[in-house]
Amino acid sequence: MSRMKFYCDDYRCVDCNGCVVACKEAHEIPVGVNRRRVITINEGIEGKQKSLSVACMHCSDAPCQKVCPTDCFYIRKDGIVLHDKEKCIGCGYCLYACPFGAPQFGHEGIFGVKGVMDKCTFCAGGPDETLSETEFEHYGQNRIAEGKIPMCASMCATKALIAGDAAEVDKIYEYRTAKRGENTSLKPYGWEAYNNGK
Amino acid sequence: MESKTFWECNKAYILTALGLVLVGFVFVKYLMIMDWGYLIQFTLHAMLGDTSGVMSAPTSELQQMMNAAFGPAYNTVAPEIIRASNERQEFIWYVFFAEILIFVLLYIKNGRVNPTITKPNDTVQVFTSFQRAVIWLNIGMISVLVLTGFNITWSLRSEGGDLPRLLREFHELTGLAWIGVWLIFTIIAAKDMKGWRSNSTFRHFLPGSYKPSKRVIWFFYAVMGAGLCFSGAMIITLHPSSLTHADVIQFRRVLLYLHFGASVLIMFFILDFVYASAISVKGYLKGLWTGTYPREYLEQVAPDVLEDLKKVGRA
Amino acid sequence: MANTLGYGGMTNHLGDMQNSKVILIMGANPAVNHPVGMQHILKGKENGAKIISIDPRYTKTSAHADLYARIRTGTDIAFLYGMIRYIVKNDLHDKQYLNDRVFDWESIVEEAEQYTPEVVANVCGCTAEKFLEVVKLFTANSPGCLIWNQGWTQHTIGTSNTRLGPIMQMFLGNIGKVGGGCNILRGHDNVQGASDMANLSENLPGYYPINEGSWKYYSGQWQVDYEWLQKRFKSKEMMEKKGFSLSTWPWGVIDEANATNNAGTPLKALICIGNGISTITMTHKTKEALDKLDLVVFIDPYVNDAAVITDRTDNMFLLPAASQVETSGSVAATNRSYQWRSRVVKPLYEAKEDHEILFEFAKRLGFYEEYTRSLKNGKPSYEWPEDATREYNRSIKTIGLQGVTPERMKRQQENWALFDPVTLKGSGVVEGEYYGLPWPCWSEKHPGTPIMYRTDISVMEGGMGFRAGWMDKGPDGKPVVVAEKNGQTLLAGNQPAGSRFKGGYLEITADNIESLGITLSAEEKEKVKGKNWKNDNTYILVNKALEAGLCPYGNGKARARVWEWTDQTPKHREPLHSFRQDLVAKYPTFEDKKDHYRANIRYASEQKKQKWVEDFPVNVVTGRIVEHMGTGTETRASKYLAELAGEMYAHIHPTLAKKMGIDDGDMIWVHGTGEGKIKVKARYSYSVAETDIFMPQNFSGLWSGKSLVDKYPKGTAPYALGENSNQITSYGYDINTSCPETKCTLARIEKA
Repeated sequence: MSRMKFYCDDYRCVDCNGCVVACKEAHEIPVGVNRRRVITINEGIEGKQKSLSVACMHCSDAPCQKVCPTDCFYIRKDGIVLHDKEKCIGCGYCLYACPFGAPQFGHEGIFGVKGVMDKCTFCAGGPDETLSETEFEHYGQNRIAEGKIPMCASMCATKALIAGDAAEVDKIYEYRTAKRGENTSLKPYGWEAYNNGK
Repeated sequence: MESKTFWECNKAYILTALGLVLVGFVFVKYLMIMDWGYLIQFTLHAMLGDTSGVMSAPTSELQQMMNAAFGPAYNTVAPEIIRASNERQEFIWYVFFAEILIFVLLYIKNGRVNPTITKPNDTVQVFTSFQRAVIWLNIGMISVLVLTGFNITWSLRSEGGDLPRLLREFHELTGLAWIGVWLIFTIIAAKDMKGWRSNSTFRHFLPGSYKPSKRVIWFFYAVMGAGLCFSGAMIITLHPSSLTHADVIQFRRVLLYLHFGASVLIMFFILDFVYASAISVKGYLKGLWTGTYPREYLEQVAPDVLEDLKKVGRA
Repeated sequence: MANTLGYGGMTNHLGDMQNSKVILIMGANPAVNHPVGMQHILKGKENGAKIISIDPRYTKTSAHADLYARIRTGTDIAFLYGMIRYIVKNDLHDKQYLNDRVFDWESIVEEAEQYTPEVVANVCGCTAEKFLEVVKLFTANSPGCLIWNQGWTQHTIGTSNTRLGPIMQMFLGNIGKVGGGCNILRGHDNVQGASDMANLSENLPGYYPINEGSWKYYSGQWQVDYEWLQKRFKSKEMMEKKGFSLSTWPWGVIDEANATNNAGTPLKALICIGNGISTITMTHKTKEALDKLDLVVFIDPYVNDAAVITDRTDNMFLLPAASQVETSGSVAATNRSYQWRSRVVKPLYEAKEDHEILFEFAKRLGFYEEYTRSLKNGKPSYEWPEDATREYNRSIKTIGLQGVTPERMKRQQENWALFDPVTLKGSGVVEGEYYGLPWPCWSEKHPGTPIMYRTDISVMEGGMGFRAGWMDKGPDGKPVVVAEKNGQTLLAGNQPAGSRFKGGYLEITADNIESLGITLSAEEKEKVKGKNWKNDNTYILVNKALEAGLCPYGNGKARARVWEWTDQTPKHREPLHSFRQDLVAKYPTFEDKKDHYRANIRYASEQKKQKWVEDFPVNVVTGRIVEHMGTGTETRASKYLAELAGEMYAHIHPTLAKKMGIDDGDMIWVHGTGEGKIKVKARYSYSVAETDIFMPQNFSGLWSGKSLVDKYPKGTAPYALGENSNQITSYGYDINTSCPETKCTLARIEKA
């Protein structure tokens, strides 16, 4: 079974925030909620500036799912982690458990009372009827059901952000790694890659 | 007074401390997976104003990126949050069972004090209407907080949805409102501190003087309340945007953990209040409502209160 | 660049950068201005290309470079001369190429002589070692591609920059080469198309110069009487005179002295169609001009922020125009490719497409019939936008738009997937075409020219030499002056592959075509009598030349020296407001120029007016940020973009800030040399030099600390407002194009 994965190539990411805006426009997400964000470190420091676009990583052992008191998360067969907004009570535990800061909560309401959680759906909608209006309202577009790749990756100007079947993503990664030569981890992503990378 | 030994003077404190250390040791040693070294370091850093959670400069670009994108040291606190929130769902019953057991044992040992009242009409007003308002507001709010809090913890049983979400929001709002009540209770808890002058308003805020066993309960109630108020309010107000996420997430994790811990511990003192007011002495609860007690009741159960009231001329 | 190579367009294309082995980026920040172009640069890097970024700032592009060198703003010429000197000294120049294809390249060597690495280091402010590192890396890899953008053009010496860049490339033989070339990455939709269609005051569509011959040619193309056309102008002289440019027009309003350049009257009215005129330097002068005009009209999908800046209360009109997704037609990409754009939605509300608005104007001004005559071209009605496209197919012969027909563009649009992104070659139904038919596309059979000036392929495959037609670009058929120096001619020493004629030749005219080995029938001769390739409506000359493998514009040499200009060879000249006062004496600017795009422009007098740097000790760099476009009129009205970049700021180096007692996040006042002042937030950044501050040019809506939000018509204010950095940019215009000097500015900053 294929597994859907994101991969952001920090050699390619130019911090243009195109993915962020593409995502928000596609899913009509309110201001203040960012399913995807671009992080830049060492801005302006020669040779050290790096950018990376991050969103939900769709973990196979998703901590958000483990911690959720209402058990509103579910993992699709293709590895996409989705959640049920009808169940979510907005407690925010997933935010604490997530290593990537993917869960987002809006700021509306008095005393900053949080709404329900919103996060990257890999453009795969949610538990509502596929391609229905309710689904769009709750989770945004369901591009996976339409046979398309997520909006962020399809709009990425430099094709730093790749999304799709892990095996395919891995192939692209291997291709680029081989072309670039040394100094790149052989494993895309994961903590291991991080720790051995440099 | 001088004849009392150190042990006799501080028995209540020592026993409470020992109890907490014992419970704490068992939990920390055998049940928790928190990186305590990190937590202690973090707390020190946070006190100095650095709440980012980055304890030492990153050694690699990747580590730096992780710090900037995801927040530092995921493996220190977050797994504990996951464990705690899961185990709270499953095992918090046992904690309550143990706590209730303590009071059952106390009851078996001490029974119920039943003061003999011969002159029910000779009453003294102990609690002013303000004091009663505070006390009952506290009882009400705590009940709401406990219920709505469990609503979050145990929402696996409710399976989420609109009502539990509403209750969760109510928990946050009530919590914020409770901060005011908690403040008054803190004053009450500190009312016989040596620093106050003997005739100050604080000292007479609530009549009577504390025995150590009573004071320690007030004291812990105030301290745990502080933890809850601080962490709760911070969690609500210190809301991370996607760009500040990495800077605050670790702090929020620690705050949530503080909230978890304080809520479990404060339950003991809440139960103690329930035991003390509803079970240990007959007639206490009624007086709490009316504000007046028969003089004989006070003579038998709380002579110190009567003494205090006489001083200010209310008895 | 047009004056060096023949055409001003980007020589290669985006995908071709994947073939480069080294990419030198100077005065450009493609990661911000052209993220999609950046994709190809990064792919090039993956293919082994070394990326070199030379910039006053450590930009997002620099972050991806293998080598970065920081230079002072406006010193690119010294750097390039240093490179050329190094190339010649180390015998790395392509002598065959230079002798065959470049006229008077020796004059460049002479000029370059003084730029030793030490001089470069002194002028540019980088170390000599860094400079040598750059040259060595650039010359060690071939082919090399050069990228620039507004960082080169927006200077008093902008045209010298853009000449010396290609000259340096020619020393390495990199022009007309796969993976080489000069790639100007325009960061705006259809900029190339706008200049192709003469959105400039100095020429007619297709870069025909404004003279009698061109007007006559166009009156023929537009099917109107030349006399009628001439009567539309005040006089024949004004008809043939360069107009005000985007940067000089305010002086035509404010400065009464300029009236003599403008038929004795100051400017009275302004119609602004889709232009952020507040991105021109000294916005407070633009405001002054707007206040003074009798009539102002803005035609824009959004409220043009210039309409908010002005204090005028009457005679200002905002006409709602349709946005790009509400229109259709051809658009030209940065690499001269034309693409067909289809309409997505009909114009919303009362918005109208630009041409509709212009037609309405024409109707009310009484020349609608003449205006649309050539669109109809004999038919009872016209079809928009196809007939407009056909009109330029017919009339613009100079840059070869004959082959860019609506039918071909639409077929390409429907078959995107059949093109190779690296070579642009099509397959299947679009076999034998390059994507976008990059001009020159000489005929409907021509595939387009993705890489210009290639001589290794034939003309019909997109090959060509340099243009032979320097002194006479008019369609009136006068013979080209052949300049000679040291026995060299302007004609090339080689020829594109498959050319039947060996060696260089002049542009194809009826007179010389037979001397090039082409025979015409008597009938054909009669038809083309007195014509040349630029004005021959029968296309006989062009087609016959193509058949013989000849390029219609001839086969000449690029010229290293532009003999009719002030600076015949490019020269480094200090900016008017130089940060290095000590270098001004050695590299002084130009003499003041009268009637420069109808305005009298100060050069030397401005530079000598005072020792600017003493009162304005901070060097200012302005530029674009990735979230916003131009003045941000459109992008700041997007809530998501406003969320990402919602406030104006100045990047300041912590060292400079600490010296001035400015903390990160403090508000500061920035005073420009021209009286303007703005209040912005200081943000610490290591990307700027310790002497510099950087400010984005994309904000507007705040004016010297005051909000102008109340002036927006109800409900039209953008989400993000900020001070306009161009209020403090300095006086100064390019000596040839009058492009404003936005990149060399001095300022004084103080804590607010």
